Amino acid sequence: MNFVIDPTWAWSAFQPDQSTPWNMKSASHLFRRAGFGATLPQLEEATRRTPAEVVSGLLDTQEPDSFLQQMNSLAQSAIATGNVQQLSAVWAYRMLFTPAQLQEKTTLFWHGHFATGADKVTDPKLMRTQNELLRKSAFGDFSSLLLEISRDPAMLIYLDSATNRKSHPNENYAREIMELFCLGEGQYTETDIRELARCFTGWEIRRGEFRFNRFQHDSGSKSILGQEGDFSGEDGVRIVLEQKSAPEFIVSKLVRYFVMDEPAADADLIAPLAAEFRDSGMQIRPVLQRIFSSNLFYSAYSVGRKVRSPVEMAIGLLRCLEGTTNTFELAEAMQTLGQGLLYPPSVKGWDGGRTWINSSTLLSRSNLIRALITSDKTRFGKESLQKYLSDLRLTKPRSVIDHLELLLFAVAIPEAAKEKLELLMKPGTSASLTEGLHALCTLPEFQLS
Amino acid sequence: MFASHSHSTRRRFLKSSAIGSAVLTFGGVAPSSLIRAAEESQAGRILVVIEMAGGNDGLNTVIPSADETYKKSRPALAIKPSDVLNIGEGLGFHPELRGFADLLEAGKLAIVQGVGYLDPNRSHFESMDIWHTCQRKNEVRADGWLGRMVESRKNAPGSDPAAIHLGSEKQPFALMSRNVRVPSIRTLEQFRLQGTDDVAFRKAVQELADARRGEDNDLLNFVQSSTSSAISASERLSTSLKSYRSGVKYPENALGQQLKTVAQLIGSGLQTSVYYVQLGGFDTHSQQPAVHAALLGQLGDSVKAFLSDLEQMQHADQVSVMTFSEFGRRVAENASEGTDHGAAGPMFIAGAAVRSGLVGRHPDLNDLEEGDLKHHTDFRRVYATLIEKWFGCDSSAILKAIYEPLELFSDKA
Amino acid sequence: MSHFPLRLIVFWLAAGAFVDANSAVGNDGVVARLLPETTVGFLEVPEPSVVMARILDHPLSTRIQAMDVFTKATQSKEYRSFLTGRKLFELQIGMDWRPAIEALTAGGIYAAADGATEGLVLLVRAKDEAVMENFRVKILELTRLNGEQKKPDDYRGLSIYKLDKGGAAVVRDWLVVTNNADLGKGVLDRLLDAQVNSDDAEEPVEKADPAGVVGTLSANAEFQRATQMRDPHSQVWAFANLKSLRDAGKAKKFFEGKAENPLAELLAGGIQSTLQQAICVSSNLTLTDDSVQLRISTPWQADWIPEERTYFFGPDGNGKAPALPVVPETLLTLATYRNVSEMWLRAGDLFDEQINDKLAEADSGLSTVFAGRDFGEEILGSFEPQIGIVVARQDFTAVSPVPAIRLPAFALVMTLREPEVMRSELRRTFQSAIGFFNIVGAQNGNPQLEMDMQKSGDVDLITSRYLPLKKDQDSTSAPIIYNFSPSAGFSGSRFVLSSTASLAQQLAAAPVAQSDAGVNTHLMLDAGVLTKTLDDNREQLISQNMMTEGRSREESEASIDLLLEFIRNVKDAGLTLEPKDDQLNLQLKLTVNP
Repeated sequence: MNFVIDPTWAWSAFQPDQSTPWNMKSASHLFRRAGFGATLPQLEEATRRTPAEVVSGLLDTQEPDSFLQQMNSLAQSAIATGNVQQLSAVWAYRMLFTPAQLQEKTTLFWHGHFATGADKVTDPKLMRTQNELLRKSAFGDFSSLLLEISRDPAMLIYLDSATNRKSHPNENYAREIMELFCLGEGQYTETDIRELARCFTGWEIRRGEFRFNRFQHDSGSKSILGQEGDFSGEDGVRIVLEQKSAPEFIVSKLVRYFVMDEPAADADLIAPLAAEFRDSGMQIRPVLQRIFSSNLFYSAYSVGRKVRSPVEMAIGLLRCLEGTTNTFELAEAMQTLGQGLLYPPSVKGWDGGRTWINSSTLLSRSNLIRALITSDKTRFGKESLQKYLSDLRLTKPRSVIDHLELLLFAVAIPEAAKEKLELLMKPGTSASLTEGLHALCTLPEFQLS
Repeated sequence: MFASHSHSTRRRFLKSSAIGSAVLTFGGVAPSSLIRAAEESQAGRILVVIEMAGGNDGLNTVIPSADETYKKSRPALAIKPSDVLNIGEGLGFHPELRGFADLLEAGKLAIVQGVGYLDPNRSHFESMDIWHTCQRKNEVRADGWLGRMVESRKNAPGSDPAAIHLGSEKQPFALMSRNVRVPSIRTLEQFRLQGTDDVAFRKAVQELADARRGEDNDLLNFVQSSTSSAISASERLSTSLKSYRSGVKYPENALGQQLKTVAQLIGSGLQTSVYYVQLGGFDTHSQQPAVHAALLGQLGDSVKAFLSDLEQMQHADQVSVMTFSEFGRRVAENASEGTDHGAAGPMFIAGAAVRSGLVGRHPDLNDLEEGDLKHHTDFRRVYATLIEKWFGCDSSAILKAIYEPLELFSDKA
Repeated sequence: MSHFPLRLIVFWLAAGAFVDANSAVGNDGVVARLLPETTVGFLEVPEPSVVMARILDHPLSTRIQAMDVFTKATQSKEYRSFLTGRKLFELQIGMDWRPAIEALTAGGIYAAADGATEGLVLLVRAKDEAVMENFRVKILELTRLNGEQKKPDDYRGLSIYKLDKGGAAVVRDWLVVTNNADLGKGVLDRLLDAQVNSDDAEEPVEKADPAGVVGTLSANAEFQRATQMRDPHSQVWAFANLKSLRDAGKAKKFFEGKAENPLAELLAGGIQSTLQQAICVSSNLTLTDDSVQLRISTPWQADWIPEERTYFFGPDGNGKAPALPVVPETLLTLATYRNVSEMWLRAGDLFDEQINDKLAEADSGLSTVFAGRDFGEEILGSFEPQIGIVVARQDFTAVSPVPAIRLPAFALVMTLREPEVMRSELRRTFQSAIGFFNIVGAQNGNPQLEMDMQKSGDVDLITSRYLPLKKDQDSTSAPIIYNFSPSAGFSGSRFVLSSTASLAQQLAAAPVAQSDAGVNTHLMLDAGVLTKTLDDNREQLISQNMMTEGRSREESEASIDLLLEFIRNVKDAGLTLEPKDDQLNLQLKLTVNP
């Protein structure tokens, strides 16, 4: 598609019309992107409200205290084992059960943005502290999130920046905050990195806690991105954020994550949203609200224009069918597919888009689906899949296919494919249902969101 | 450099003259079809890396058994001249390394001696990281040499993975890169579509994936063609496994079985160019003889089986195997019949295309650095050889400096 | 419930009377004369009503039936169709199911597998001919109602009801069901010809084979040997003909001499050697008011055990498990005779090459930990060949920090060959091992161990404890590592290596229990302490259950509490292995709370 998207149209409030109506299908799209997916009753309920109301609902939903307590207890239990992989399962559990889907989806975004790997940090406590920071700040103020991340023990350990002496400034964090967290390549010079690194001298992690060592801080004058002064680390973070490219960079990433993989949104398309982001004092919530209420989001530029990530695929399949399973195995499977929660492949996070796909990952995806639906720990609405579907009065193969298409597919399944699937499911046994669902989830269409 | 009485050298001579006469019959000029074939074959080339984790005792692998200093330094661990497998130049293989001796005899093994790097580090982790990234601790280490290499080769997204790590250990640093993700697989089954062997199911899945979507959604078309080739790869693997009747018996140990898996993946026509496997246990601080013998036996027998299997499958010309260890061990043994962390050691390159024999001299046992053998060949020269001569890529960006390749491959390669 | 003891007494008397009057041996003699000599497996329940009563009338059954989960299970589709079937049966027979079954099986239930025909046969003997006939007629009616009935075949005047490849028939008070026609015919012939039954078998009849023994299981030497190992008080007895199975090349893996790995070898190496030689196995299941006991016996001779496995039973099979010191809150004890040093050094004869490679690697690593001393010879060899393992619940009341996961403490109890020499040797080794852990720990950012020595009287202790990191100091959910305070204790020739200082101290000082004399291995689990230990970790168990089962908190709570509830009904569980006289006995016993 060669096109130029009109930014005014793109970010205007979505007004449903005949060509892009507000119905179960578009609601399903919203829940897939602003969360992991919805069940049929959730979709029915959504269509009784306006899109704007549903979006506000997604942003406003809070996890009730009892749920928070349970999550706390699970995390404590994981920390007690000292095995950081257990935290990965705790997060998978939370994704499966949380009522606040968008908060979790956005937390995952920030985790990919401020990528920190448990394989290197190894201390589950520190990983959890960071994870809670990301969750707490998911819709909040980006400036304070950035400052807190800059002093986050897990982050600095991950970037080999736990020590930073004035005689030998550690450039690693200075580089990443500009290249990966705020500005993007080409927006700074190597000198900016060296000077910014001097601001962060004296920022240390000792015994898992941040501490400012004033004796190791270089209090001399620095010159960063055109500004001069005897800047502290806090000043350094502020100066980076003051750059024009900062809101553009963040908004571009948000648009890519929530709206479309490709083509990359051009500067004109990003500009209005970036300006709004800056004018709000870097508040994330209004940006999300705008994105999910926009014409662009419900248009053909967005629907089906993302490759499902492993987490979206596995959690989505289960959530749409009220499914649960062994979350240790689930977390491990997602890791095998390349998206281990708390295990990003590098500080760059997950590249997403086409890089999710190769012959190995596609086969692993298909095998994971099979393993998921055949695992004796997997239950749908506390029942077997067959029982669950028959309770929804979905007994005919075609009605099962149509149901799953509505919940799980952004792109229509070709009619010929449906007929083939129907044949596979025809015997009506639980084995043929497994075959059918497995084949359905191996369709190319299933890889898109 | 090579002793003229060595079997392997003689063999190599015969071999290359045979090639020479073949070329001559075409009138002295290689026809363009042959050149094209050569280029194509370079595209399908494969490197299998075997990491010998823990620090292999190179001195008891390629052994100067008659050397007086050797005997004196190792009263308990020295292997007698009568026990070693003679490979010329006064050197011999450890008696359990029969597999490698056979490969050398068959002209398929290069032994690069005295490999290491300046200012050697004796910590497992640090030295391993140096071998993996080609960088020292004070530099930013974000990726590994193999990762950078596969990244520079620009595999099309959606096709087979550029590299595969076999095993359940953490993925080796060498394979890390910013943009290319390398899968770690534990078993062959991960590469096959699981589920029933029901023909209807398999056929349906394949047909569903093969059908062109013909939409304007590029992403969908991309996913469709990738799915189609993934299912085909799985089916190919299943078919080749069914017909896989290797006469070769792989040893029943982890390395042997992993190399068998690699052979099966190669046999199914996977377009992956790098495979990485690990063999641990070389950190022999005490009671070394039995452990070291067992490990070398596993190594030699597994690689030998692997190469003869590839030969049966007619993939031998495509594949080279490289072994390395993070360091060698002290020349002098310690008090508990073991050896401590050292420096330089040998590397092995095996394969049909390899220029067989000893490369470089054995490090002098009377010229040590802090009790360790001195290196004379930087390990990055071996890497450079593989990158440039085997894969035909430029090595300077990958290795972050210019290293002169060695003569490790025969001319026809 | 108050009338319960009385009921028990009645049952006890009834069971006793049964054993006396109707001597089980006499009855199995009858069945053994019906079965072919080639029988390889035989199981009998001479008095099913006693077994039913022991299980169904036990207070535990009532308690289980009162449990939520049981009520839920009874709502399942499967259970409902089972109930429907049972109801139908009751209607047809015109009796409640239980007295009906009691009458139908009053003469016992017997099952056998025949090696020659590879068939199975089931024999049921009713109270009398009338009961059996009534049953036959009623069941026929039932099948007729279902329209499944085929015309029976005739065999020597008997109606044979064909079932797949076999069939069923009624002869007097006997029901015979088999899946193999030849096997069935043989059994029917013997029933018809010999007219055997327990009464007239006693009568002298002028025949060459008065009791009809020739060619039957009764004449089988292996069977005769097995009956000698029969416990007259057991309610279920089984026999397997190992000789025939071995000769027929069945279950090759089972009779193979080599163990798969060192742990399997250590646990069962001697048993494997026994199975290669023993001709039969006899199993007795005994249910009492408060216990279930299974005793499996085979013939045994000390010289069957090859030299490389002498480490298992000891020279001439005289190796005895040690008597262990008794400490409070003991969760589990394992006492066994094993000469581990000998096993380690004989590994070359015991394992395949691959395992030996791994052992060589382990040997190298362990010798490093033990400062270059040879692990098999010098370390393992310095102990008597007796091993004791004690696991005890930990008391965290006076401890800080308290770990979130509260593991029990465990310890190894051994006897030193030369206490004077080895005490200081082991003390040094322990110190250097702690130093080694500290170096490894420091590399991994773990807290460091601090060592201390204590001496009181003959008891000598070297303790170590993890110095809590500042952040953990007052934690009540500290990392798992704070469960451990590795310590060693000495008193006399006793050596204790324990995961905690307090268990080391207790074990070093405590007097020993009366040992089970002659026992090779003895294992005891106290279910009461197990419940407490699990209860200590209830929150942890619930969390882990939520994640592994993908359950809600409520579901997991219910499931963990059910598990705890279930274990609360158990008192203890024990296992002993003992070669005695010419017999090897493996005994498992589960005792329940009254």
